[in-house]
Amino acid sequence: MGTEGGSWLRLRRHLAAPIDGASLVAFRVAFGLAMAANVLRYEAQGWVDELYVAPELAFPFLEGVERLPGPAMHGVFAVVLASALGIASGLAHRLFTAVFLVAFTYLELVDRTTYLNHYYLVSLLAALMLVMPLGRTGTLRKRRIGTLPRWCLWTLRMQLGLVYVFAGLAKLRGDWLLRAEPLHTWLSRYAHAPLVGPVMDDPWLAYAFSWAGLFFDLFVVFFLLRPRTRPLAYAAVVVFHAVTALLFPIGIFPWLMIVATPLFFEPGWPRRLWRGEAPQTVEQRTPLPLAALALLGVWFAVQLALPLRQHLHPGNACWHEQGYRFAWNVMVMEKTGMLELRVLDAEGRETRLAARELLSPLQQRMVPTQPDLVRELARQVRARFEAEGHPAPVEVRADAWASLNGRPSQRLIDPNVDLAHAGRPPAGWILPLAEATRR
Amino acid sequence: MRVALVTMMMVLGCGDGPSFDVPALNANAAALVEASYEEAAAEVDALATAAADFCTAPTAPGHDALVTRLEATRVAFKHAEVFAFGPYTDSPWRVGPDLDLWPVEPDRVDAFLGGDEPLTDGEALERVGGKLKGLPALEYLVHGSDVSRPFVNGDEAAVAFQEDARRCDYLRVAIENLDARLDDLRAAWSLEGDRYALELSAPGSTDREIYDDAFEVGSALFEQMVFTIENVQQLKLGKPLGLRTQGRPEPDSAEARFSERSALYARETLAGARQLYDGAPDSELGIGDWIASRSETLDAQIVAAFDAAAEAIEDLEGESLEARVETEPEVVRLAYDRLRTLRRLLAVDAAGLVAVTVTFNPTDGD
Repeated sequence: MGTEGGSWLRLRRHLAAPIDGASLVAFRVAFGLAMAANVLRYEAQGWVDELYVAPELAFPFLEGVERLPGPAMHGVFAVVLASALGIASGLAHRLFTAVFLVAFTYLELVDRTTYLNHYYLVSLLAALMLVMPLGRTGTLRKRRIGTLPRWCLWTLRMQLGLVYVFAGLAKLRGDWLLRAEPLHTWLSRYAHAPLVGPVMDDPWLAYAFSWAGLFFDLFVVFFLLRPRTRPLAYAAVVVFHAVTALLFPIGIFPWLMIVATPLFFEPGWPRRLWRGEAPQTVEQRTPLPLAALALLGVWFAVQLALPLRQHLHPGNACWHEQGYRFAWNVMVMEKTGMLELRVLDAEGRETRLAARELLSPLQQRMVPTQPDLVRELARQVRARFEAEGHPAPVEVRADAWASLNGRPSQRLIDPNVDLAHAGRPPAGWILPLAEATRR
Repeated sequence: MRVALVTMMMVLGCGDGPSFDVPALNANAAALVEASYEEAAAEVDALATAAADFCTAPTAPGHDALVTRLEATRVAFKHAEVFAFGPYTDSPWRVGPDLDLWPVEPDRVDAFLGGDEPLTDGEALERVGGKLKGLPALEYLVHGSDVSRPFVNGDEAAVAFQEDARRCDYLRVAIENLDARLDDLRAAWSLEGDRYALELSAPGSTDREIYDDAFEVGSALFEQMVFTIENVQQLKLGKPLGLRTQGRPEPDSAEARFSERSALYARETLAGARQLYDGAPDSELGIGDWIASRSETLDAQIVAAFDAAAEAIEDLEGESLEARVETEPEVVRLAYDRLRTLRRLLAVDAAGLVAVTVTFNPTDGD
């Protein structure tokens, strides 16, 4: 016991030890500016109105998390913008980070159809930054960059590492490895492009990208951690994310990773840019509190469990999408769908509703392929019909078809099940994927 | 590094040319738009002549000729319905509501017919809403006795036109207005006019910035084709069938209830979409060639589904759709279901295969 206690103590002292805060400060500033730029991009593109104001229906993650009226939604984005700039400034760090975390996460929770893996990552990083003393140094008020505790750096490194490794594990699928899908389909989009067109449509390129992407995701963290391989690994990070940014509409994600992965360099790397003097680090005798260590342990246990939970559900998670979100399933599927609802009132009268009558353009793409969203839509339609005075109970059945990674379309949902009264997935109403592929 | 470079060059060397020429598809579509509206313009001219002849001396044979010309005109517009985007729907042109805003509201047309607004030329209809002009209003003028029924025969129609000279005036100015608005539409597409055709054939060459590249144009054409088929399924058949109203048929919502040609126009709309799918018979590319470049099996399935849907709609044409939804709903339902099958093959199978609807979140992706 004594030896174990000593190991833990050494670990806690090691984690609490001060290190050069330069790379953490650089990350904080880059993160804040990137998030601010993201808000400006949303407003410039008209996405706030298109995604958060115009749709008649919403699909919140949590009951009670509802959209606000249009001007208030713009107000939330303004809050995200201001707090992101506040994070970059380093002033009132905990206040700005808390406000950012709440406002940004609200935008994520308010509609499942806008879910993005990297916005989930943004919320996680913001939550971690909230508990870190990142406002202690390198701020607009205290410009001289001093030290920060080592656990901050390693916590962020671990979080980023988990994203890469799980994104790699998610690619250990037959479609990715043996059919080079969905990359072959996506790359063929550039088949007509000048010069590179003929290559982009070649299956071998898709295979090369698929396997290279797999190895990159699985092993890049390992190579980033080793000083000898770090420069080459970071060059690979830049090339990989720049290529994906060039080819696919994935917004800020590549740039976020490019500015975040320098955290794997030695903590004082930014000083090379201005030849600054490193702060003095003294030996730390005060260990990281046990409760803090325990909290970090719980955090990472959850971070390990969430992506793994998809494996509790039999079948292809890309098809049934149970446990699919919050699991770093990045770029592993191209799924199209078609949905028509059959609404039957208590007197057996049937009304058919097409997806386009109910949903916004983005929702029309997202809802038909995601069983839990189809069920949610069915419940909202039932509520609407009953509120309009149609004889209850109103039943809602789904004529839902989907195609995954180029397979022939097949029914996604049992058309005989009343989804308005069906239980949450996993439930028998999601039909299994037939693995046949098209020739 | 050298090994990596050689490997990359070998990979690059494997390319044997793009399997499908999307820019050529887009250019053909632009040409098809022009040809479709040219055909429609010729039909409008012929319709104007038939209307003038009939109004000079209203007779039953003259009415028959007018009916024939009106049908041909509507068929031409139905063929072009798959191109109802761009200048058809968008500002500053937004021509569509003036051409073909259906179903007609006969009581409003009757009220205008019974009014005293001067009907001198097509300009007279410039300031009135789409419900009082365009093809549906013309159809009501030619076919409709009153809000409840069509003319029994050509004689009754001839008498109605003889007794009410304003009916002929309305007919004439409505055709003139149709002609003028169609000219506006053609000018918007024309290379001598607003050059909207370049958005398809040379994306990025104008300052409108509608499509970034040829693939986006191809995707838009694909989606427009599927949208048109969905309109046939949902609006032209499903709505009259009562599928939106607890199974209670809505014959008044049919596209052409006074001429009893709703099924014909549904089939011709589908034929327009099919034209975009097939391309020209010999060499010009259609969307079907795009699909076939990925899967000939799927292309064959889609062609068969097009045929089956057209056949099912054709089976509705013996009797009016408005009657069929009441007396033989299962026959209409069959056509509806076949259109749904066609739509599924296109919107789910084909769209995923050629990646026209890459399901990245359009804001940012994955």
